[in-house]
Amino acid sequence: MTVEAPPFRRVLIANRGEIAVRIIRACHEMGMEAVAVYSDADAAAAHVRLADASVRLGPPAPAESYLRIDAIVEAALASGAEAIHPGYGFLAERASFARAVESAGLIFVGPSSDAIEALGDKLHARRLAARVGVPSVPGTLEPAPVDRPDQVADILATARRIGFPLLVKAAAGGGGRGMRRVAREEDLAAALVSGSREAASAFGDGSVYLEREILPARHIEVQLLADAHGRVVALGERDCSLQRRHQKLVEEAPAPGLSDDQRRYLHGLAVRMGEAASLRNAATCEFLRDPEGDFWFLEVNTRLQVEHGVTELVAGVDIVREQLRIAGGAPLSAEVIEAGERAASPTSHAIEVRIAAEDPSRSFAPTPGRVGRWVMPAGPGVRVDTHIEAGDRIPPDYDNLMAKLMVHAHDRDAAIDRLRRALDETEIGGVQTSLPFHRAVARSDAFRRGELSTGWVDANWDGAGARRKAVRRALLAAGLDALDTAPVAGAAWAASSKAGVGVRRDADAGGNAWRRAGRGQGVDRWPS
Amino acid sequence: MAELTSPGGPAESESTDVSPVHVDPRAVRVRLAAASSTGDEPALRLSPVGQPLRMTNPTIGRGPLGGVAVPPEPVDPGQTAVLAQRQPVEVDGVRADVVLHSSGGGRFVLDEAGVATRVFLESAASAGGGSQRREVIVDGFLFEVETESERIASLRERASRGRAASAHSGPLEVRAIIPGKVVAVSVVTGDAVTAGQQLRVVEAMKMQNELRAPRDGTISRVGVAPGVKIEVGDLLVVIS
Repeated sequence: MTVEAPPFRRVLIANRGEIAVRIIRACHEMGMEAVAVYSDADAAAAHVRLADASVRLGPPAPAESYLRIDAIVEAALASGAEAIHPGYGFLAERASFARAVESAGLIFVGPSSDAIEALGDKLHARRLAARVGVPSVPGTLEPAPVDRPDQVADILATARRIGFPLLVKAAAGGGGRGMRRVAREEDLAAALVSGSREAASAFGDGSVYLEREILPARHIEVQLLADAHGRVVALGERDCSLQRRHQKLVEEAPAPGLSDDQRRYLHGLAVRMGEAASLRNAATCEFLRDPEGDFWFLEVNTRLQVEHGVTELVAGVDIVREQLRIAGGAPLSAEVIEAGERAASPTSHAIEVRIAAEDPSRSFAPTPGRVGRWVMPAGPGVRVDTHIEAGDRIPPDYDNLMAKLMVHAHDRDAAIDRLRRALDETEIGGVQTSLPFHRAVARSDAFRRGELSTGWVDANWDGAGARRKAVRRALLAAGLDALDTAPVAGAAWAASSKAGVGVRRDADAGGNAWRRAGRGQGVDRWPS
Repeated sequence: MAELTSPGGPAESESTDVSPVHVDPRAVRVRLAAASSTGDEPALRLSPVGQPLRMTNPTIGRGPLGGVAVPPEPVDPGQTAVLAQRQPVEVDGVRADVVLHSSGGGRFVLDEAGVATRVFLESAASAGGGSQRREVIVDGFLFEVETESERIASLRERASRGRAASAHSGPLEVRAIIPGKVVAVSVVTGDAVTAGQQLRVVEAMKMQNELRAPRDGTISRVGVAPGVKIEVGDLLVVIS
């Protein structure tokens, strides 16, 4: 076997957080240098520490740093990088970014700017699906006339035909931004305006359209890899049904409960979309599965997904490595093609939970702050992709993902057992995280039975109730410990307490006094 | 998930008339600190049962001698992993079947009526006024918990009882619970609002979060304008 030469000498990663760290690791494994970019909020961040060189972009606000196309292309040219990997989020699905990279004579690690335009715009993608006979979710194929009061009657008639409740979605959207659920006719106009406003602020494009809400639905997506020679391979599907506010919380591969024939059919639909759009590099084709078992095309994400890791574990393919190879002009490797052939008959199972800085008992509201205790799980079949260390700040300026905890086992039951075990080992202090929710998922009978739907969280998660139980136990534990160590009562009690439980605690208190005092001031809990 | 069994104590309010002179000097009051509290979690009162001078019986493990005082034995200071606090306790005045086992390094197992829960307790720090504050992790939830002597807590309550009665009426200040940027203001001073009505849209972590009125009323003051960056605790509106 010959050793493949690295596709590039140096790659710039136009991202931050865990995904920047993930891509830097792939670069280093392939013998390439990695260049990081950073905002002032990330000057000491993990991706900067890990990279071989780093370039400052600007102040913390994304518009002044990670969204600055000119500054990023300039950083790549100045640092001698030959290729730019966009990660996910930020500029990953901006055709204008890919085009700027291409015209600077650099390689964009992803689909061509034309393909991003065709597939990244959901309305374009819906029209493309219609052309190649892939069924998409019923709805409109053209932007809604948000700024035309005279056309309100038309859009209402269309909405009635689609049926309520329906969704207002951003054509340029992703991650639920710009999306509104409309249950009643009279709320449609306001939803169109607010959805359009959020879309315009998030993506610079306020186009919105209407789509039927399929409920209960499962969200199932297919990982695609394609090379410059027109070959498109489906590496397998993921079930990402567990979401809140249209943001994924838990993902698994393969999707439970599908037959090999259903998998083959679904993968075929995705490959057809990829071929129709002349797809190159990595993309994900998303579908909804209705209660009758029918698949409806939703959208194509023309980038690496957050949840790509579960497919890597099950397919045995390093997707980021393949992205870099393909970007360097290589055809799909033999392993990828074999993995594609096996994809309809998976032989193992992987689950990922997204540990984020948010409070699952308060509608998953974000909880930026400084991380205190940080203990991640390890052991067989456990993978943690993270950029966090104890003492790190979670800035309020960016996505609040802290770590992706993935488990891999021979089947789904074993993977769930492993997830529960790994979550029991996980301890995070300083900021509230989504851990309580994930712990409940790993113990849920409904989840184990594979009863998944996009309404799962509302139906199965009682955040306030879980918190109430935890509060009582927290108070009991702290109270019992205080009783135990109270320097009161008789000498005999004090003496035996000193000799026993009290000893360790006294030693601890001394070592941490300054740290506790600092935290007590709370200056970092809600940074500016 | 493990269900907790409630000891079924009376749901006494904090203003229960407990005369300070009769409070067990060893009793503690434990509550969520303001940073963790949503305002409706009651504090717990824990007190040991029995005479102070006889309570010299931390025993090893949970043997069949439950509740029986055992003469104190020499304890190896290094042997903390299996120590259990076996002193019978009352929680809110009711005898409770709860034991806290230390596993060392801040890790504990709370055993309540046979249901075990792993708990992490950070080292305690003084929170002023004789109370201690510490971080507690249970089931992935993170709390700031304050402990203080029950005697001090009940004294303070008696002193402030007069004031508490009038605190429930009057204007309601709505303050920011997340930092971010105000992107839309839906009400102006003088507007009548109903509970659940949208007051503000705050953008934080790339999400637009709608802030809704907690109760009916009239907007008597608007604290921030669109485009303004807000911090936690900033006054957004006053409803009267």
